[in-house]
Amino acid sequence: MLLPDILILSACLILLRNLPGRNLQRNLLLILTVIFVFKLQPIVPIRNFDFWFPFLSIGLTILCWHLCSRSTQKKDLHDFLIILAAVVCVELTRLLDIPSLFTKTRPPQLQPFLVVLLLFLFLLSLTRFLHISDQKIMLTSGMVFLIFILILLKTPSLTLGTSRFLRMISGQSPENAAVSDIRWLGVSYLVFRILSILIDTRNGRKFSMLLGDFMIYVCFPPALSAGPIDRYDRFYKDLHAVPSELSEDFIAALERIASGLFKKFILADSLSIVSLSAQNSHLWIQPIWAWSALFFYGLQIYFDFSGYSDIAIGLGRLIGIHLPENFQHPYLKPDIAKFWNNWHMTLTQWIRSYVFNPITRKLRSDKTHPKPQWLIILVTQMITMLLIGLWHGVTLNFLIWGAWHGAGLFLHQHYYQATKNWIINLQGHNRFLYHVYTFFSTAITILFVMTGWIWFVIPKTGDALQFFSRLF
Amino acid sequence: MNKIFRIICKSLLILFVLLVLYSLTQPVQWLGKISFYNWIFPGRERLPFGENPRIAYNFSLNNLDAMFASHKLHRAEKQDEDFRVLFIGDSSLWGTLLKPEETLPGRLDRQEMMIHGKKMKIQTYNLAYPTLALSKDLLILNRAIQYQPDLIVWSMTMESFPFDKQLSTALVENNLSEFLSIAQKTDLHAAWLPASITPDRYAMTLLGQRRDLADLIRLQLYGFMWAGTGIDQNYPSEYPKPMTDLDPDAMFHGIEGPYPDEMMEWDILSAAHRLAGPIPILIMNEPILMSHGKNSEIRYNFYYPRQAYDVWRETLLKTCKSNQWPVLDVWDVLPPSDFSNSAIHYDATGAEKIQKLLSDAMESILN
Repeated sequence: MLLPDILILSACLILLRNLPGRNLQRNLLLILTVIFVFKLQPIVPIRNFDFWFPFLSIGLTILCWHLCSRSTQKKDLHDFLIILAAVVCVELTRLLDIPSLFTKTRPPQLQPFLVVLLLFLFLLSLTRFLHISDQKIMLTSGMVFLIFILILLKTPSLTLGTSRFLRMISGQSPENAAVSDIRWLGVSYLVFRILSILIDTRNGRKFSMLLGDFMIYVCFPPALSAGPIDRYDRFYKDLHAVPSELSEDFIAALERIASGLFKKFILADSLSIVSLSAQNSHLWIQPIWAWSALFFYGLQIYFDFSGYSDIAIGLGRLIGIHLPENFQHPYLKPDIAKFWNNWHMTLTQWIRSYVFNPITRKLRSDKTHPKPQWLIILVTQMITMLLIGLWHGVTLNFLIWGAWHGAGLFLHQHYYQATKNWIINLQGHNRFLYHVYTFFSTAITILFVMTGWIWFVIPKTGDALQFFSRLF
Repeated sequence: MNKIFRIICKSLLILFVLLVLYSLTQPVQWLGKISFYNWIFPGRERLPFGENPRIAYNFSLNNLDAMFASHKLHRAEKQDEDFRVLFIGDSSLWGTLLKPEETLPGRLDRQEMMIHGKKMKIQTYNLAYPTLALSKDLLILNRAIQYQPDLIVWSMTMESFPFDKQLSTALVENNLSEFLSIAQKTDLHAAWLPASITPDRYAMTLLGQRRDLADLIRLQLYGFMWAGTGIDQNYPSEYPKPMTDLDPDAMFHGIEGPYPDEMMEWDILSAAHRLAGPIPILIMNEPILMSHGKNSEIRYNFYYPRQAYDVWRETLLKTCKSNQWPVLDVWDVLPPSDFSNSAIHYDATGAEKIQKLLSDAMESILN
């Protein structure tokens, strides 16, 4: 999100909050959501894909709602028409001579738009038909499809292939294809939000959210580009709660947005100049500068990400939605487990709910071949962290980064079990020594996390190892 | 809603007060003097300049205070046995595509030399700046003489002389009031100089100076990269070589034949000597590429038609002789293979050759 987008969004949300009537407010928020899916999408080198990617985001959301929902209200049709009207409005801006009104480049011509729209409506009807016959298969297919999309967009070779294909169908030269062509805004977050509902529904949980509410939840503009990943039931409560006076939220929202802007646009952007990168990893002359660049990278990624989260939380509050916290001073935590409980919290909670807990339950419930506790911990923590790594990109460096943290969590768990009583004793009897201990354990945790970033930031393993050698 | 309105009003009022205070105090003027260089980071070997900061870890800015504060000269100590030589000039001396130690000043630094019968250690500082205009050199010289130089080496070429070049560099354009005061101090009267500057109110506001302020912060941040990597420019592995096949064009700045003296800024040479006072200035006519390709009988290179350059060079030498200014004319000493990406940018081999000639010239004028 760029500064002008944040300002426009803030103004729109304040205006919405002050409108009379919940229905009007909610319908306008739906329109705003749809329009901002297009507006926030960055420019894409593939012709018209700054329109088609948001279109796909909206299409996927509607399709998945269609698969899960048991809502039979008339309001859903009403919501569908609102969404359709908003999308058509965005498309029709093609006829106006206002550059970058809702999309970064001119929307596509009317004929291809209508063809794609008709195809989408056909697909929607088809899922309706198949949905009735076997919902479970449909839900599983939906999950597989979403995971496939994630893999496609996160694996560089597949992304390049996708870019080539899209360039070809857009009449552009596939030779110019690049991984960076596929800039689909917020797709990782969107997929995780939708996946959680598909999984829950598949597990038998009743899902009866209205289409409009679901669209607002999945594509909520403040949280679209960088999270947090809210839970739909919690979001739904906020969306339908009677809003308090804006003034109550206003100051808190402003403080949060200001803090986010400072973190993102002042601290993170400044640190990006001096922090470690794939390009400069081999240039550092002395270890002191290499260490500093590494720490600056760790701080940059924190301020960048938590800054965006602050902005999202602040913007959410303007409309009365309390998005969950995503970062709570993670670098000040005394161990790696606490670090992960406070770093990108909504992602870790998501993975815990949908990966860690089910695997742990599965491994523990196997009574015929009982597995030792340490193996269960190792397997679950490793899988969890590897998945978090792969979520950032299906490449070796992210896999190693995930394994680095998985191993760290496993070792910490063992260390904690062995020293638990001693630490509790220390905490109760010698506060000074306990503080010294906490200080050193925090320092070691920071060191572990920071050195882990080397795998994250340097894509080539050889370069990363070379950078490790530069630290000493 | 009233409460929100009150908050917005109060915020706007505070913002307005801060903006007025900013305009009144003009902090950008003294903020430039505050620098992490020569304190946390080592001072730069050359003045900051660059067009691709993310790769070069260097960039161009217009705040002379900040530029000098970032240079290693700013905090350099001068011992009794040190002989301080400051170099001013354009990109060929600054060292485009050369590492700091490969430039002329870099090669001469810490060398020992017999000066007035006494063995002294040469302490060189590269104050060249990659734009072609004598006015810019005068602006830098004015700052440089505050650092107690014993000798100034001024590397120049014909392209820096025409009137239309003098106000074309951003450094002079953005420090015009300082240049006007130098012109007044040195009795420089030039047709291209404005008599006075009308103050731009907007340029005194925070909004008008936001770029300058951001540049000051960026300069400090890139100091970290300079300190950590020792890189201060982009060194591409491949670059276009200077043209040797030339157009059949005998014009220099739109004029065919010898370029008129009255359209060149010869007076800046005198002004510089007046400014330097007793400090000797060694003028160096820098090497140019002499092509042997197509139309090389008309032009030496991309910049210079033969006739215009020859006449200018003759005038330069005559002017130096009549004023008894020491001059080193090395215009033709380098073969085309010693040039890198331009007809005036010599490479490390070229710099090594010039260094010997310059070293001899320095020794001869100082003894």
